[in-house]
Amino acid sequence: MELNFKQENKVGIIEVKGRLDAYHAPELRTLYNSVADKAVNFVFDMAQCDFVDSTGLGTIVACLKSASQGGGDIHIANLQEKPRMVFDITRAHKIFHIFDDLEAAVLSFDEDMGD
Amino acid sequence: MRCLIYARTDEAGWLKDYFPDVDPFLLKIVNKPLLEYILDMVTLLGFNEVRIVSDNSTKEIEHSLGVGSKWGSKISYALARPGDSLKNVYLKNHSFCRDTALLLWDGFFFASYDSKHLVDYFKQDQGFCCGDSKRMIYLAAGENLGNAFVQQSTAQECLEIKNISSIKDYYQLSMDILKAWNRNYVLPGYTNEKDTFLGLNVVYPHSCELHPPIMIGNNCRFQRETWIGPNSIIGNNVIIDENTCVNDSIVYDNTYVGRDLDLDHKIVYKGNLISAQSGECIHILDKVLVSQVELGIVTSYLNRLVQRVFALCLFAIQTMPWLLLYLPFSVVSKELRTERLLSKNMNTRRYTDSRLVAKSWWGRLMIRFSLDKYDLLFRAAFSGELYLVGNRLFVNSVKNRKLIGDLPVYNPGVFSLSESVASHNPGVDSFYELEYIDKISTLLNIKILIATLYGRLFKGLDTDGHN
Repeated sequence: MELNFKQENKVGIIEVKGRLDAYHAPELRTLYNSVADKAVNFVFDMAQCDFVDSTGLGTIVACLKSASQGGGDIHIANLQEKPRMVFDITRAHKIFHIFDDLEAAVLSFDEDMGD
Repeated sequence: MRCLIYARTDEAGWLKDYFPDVDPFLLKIVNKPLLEYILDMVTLLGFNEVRIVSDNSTKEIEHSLGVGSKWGSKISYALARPGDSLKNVYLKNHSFCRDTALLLWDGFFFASYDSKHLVDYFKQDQGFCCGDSKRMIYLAAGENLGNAFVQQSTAQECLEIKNISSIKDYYQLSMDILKAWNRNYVLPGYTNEKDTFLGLNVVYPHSCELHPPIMIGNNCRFQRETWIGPNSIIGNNVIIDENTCVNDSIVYDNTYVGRDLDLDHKIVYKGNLISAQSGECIHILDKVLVSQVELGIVTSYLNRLVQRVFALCLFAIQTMPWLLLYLPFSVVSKELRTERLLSKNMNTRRYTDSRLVAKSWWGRLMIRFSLDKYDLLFRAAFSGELYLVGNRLFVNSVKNRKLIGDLPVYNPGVFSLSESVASHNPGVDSFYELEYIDKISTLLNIKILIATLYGRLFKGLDTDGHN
């Protein structure tokens, strides 16, 4: 798995490439912890993430909890088909805002999403 | 041209009382899911790319509709948060929606239309809007979309929105389509005579009488002296036993109707008997009257048998080490058991708790050989109360009771997925259980068993103390 971090419009963007599974999930948590103080809101760009399991998803939820404690939020962008099915079956879509476009996900923090 | 269907379920909560395991947008109206009517209309208007956004789940919808080849269009799927407004859903699907003429379908309702008038109206190239704030169909080029929420209805003469907000609405709509509008829509089944629709593989004896208007699904069996119709809709895989009369009624898929019954203005859904006039719903416990036709029962028994054989083998292997190592340990230790939840009915039993066992070095050694599982294996092998591999066997607590209540099924096992991956993320138990329920297979069970035994042997108990 490959992880990249960048900032755009005061929003932290974490790009996840490859498999987000039980083996690789701690890397995401480590990266998030290292950049958590650089932004309040984050977008996880999953355009090149082709697999997520419940441990990977659990890690994203743990990141969301950390972000919420700091008054922020995490939005998901470009969720691919297989990871979307995992979000679906685990009902994780009920706690995340999921966008099909990175730009819209970044700009959505300026919109009232009704939270 | 694209169409975004927001399959919003907040107005369909009433369905849970009558059709508990049916996705509202797959609710069959005259043996055809609601979404298929929507796709028929959308295709008629020439939209060839459709995105279905659900705030509930797309899994069943995707399974039912696939990629849209049946309609010659391309269907994609997306998820929304419950309570998302249409504007939010538009933003979340911005990539799909932009730069094209877009038809928006928002909410749970049926669109009644005259196909010729609708197509003519549409060809005049004018944007149209039909409905209200809770349910609407809206067509506009991308740049006009901001006005979607303030438009007045413009297409009433060719398109009418029919609310489905109660069981009476559902019954009335079904009967209206069957009796009066069955030529307006493409309905399943073949028809030799007016107002009669027959599915495939329908078997009925000479003594059975069918009276139109009538719709019969696939794989139905009617026994002798049965009387079906008029105004009756029989779903797929239905058995109607001897000397039973069904008129002005709807019998949903996979239902058995017993002998010598008279169903008049009723809706039968598996074990539920619903009055179409009053909306009263009775769950029939006596399976001789009405019940669900059991599916996949052989596979279920086989899986259970295989699990019991494996549990018996493990139990036999562990017996000698348990007597020599664990029995003396349990004698000198304090209470090692906690109360666990065994079923969705919240039955409980006390079993060994690995977290308590792990408090001493001797106990941690026992855990490496999984000897703390011995009493669980006994139950899995001999009583069948537990599976060898299943859902996590939760401790009896308010939080866990709620979690189990929310799961579609709960079959606890000696070993579980969450234990095999030794997750350290708190509060995400439901993810593991839902993933397990979705992906359950013999191969997955074997992987879980091996991963857990291996993890325990070489790493000991994880910090969460899964057991």
